[in-house]
Amino acid sequence: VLVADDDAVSRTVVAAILRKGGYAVHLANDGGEAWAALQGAEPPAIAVIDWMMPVIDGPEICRRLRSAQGPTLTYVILLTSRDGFADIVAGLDSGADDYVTKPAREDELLARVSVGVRVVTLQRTLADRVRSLEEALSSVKQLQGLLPICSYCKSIRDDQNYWRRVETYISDHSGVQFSHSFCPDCYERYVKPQLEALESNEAEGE
Amino acid sequence: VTVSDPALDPTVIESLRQLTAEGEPDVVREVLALFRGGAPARIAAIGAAWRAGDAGALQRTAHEFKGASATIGAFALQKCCRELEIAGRSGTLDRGSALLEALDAEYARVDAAIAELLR
Repeated sequence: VLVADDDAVSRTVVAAILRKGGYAVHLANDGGEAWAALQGAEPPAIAVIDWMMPVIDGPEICRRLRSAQGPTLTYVILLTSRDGFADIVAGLDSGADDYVTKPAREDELLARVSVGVRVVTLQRTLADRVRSLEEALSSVKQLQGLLPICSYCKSIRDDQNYWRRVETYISDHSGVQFSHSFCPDCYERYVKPQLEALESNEAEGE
Repeated sequence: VTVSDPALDPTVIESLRQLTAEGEPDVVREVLALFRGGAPARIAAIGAAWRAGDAGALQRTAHEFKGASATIGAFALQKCCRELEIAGRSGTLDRGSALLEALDAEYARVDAAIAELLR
């Protein structure tokens, strides 16, 4: 979690609350430092940012983040003063995800940060899922359209006008491999009579 | 706020104390020392803004000190700052002298309370 506040008193208390909550804390003394940390190689998942800061203020950081946001999302909680209702609306409009009024209360801050963790985790899980689906999609050979199939033996006619066994055709047009077995109905209908015929042949042989 | 109110709210001080992790420095001592280290310069900046007739600077400096005061539970000091902030916002600087005197007096109380706690 990034904690950005130019007021050392408030910054120290917010950091202590988050450390007690089990979070690793990175500190920034003004908006410039905060922006540098957010642009780093490993940007924090959560940022608690003071509204009023020198160099770059909280809402401006939100605006820059939202216009530059790559695939990794940073959940931003703005720290605002208790009487700044207009600030709250402006802050959320600038792209903040949530706000906490100063001075931050331990239980409230930790509850709001854990909401952020939930959102960031969900977003990352979804991004991972989309990525793996895209990979899967690109590796599947296309198998769609109208297939001419023999009504009796179920062979399929390919583009070269050859009649091919259905499993060969599907294997060639997808990632599917077939393992050959038999279903219970076919066992009764085909396999069992053959086994019985085999046994009676053997009995006759003896 | 009456004079009998404690300069530092004991509930706030206690909740700060609870934040100290095992084996780590006391958060109360750290925060109070930080507050005390920055306060004289902040009060001077508020006074300078008023004397310069700079309402914007008065609002900003009073707002900043208000936040730090609230964080350590110095609620009477926070109230002094809020009045100065409002004076700055509305541009009515005529009451400034009285408000600054009240700020100085209240800070003396807070400073003594901090000294007591840090002893």
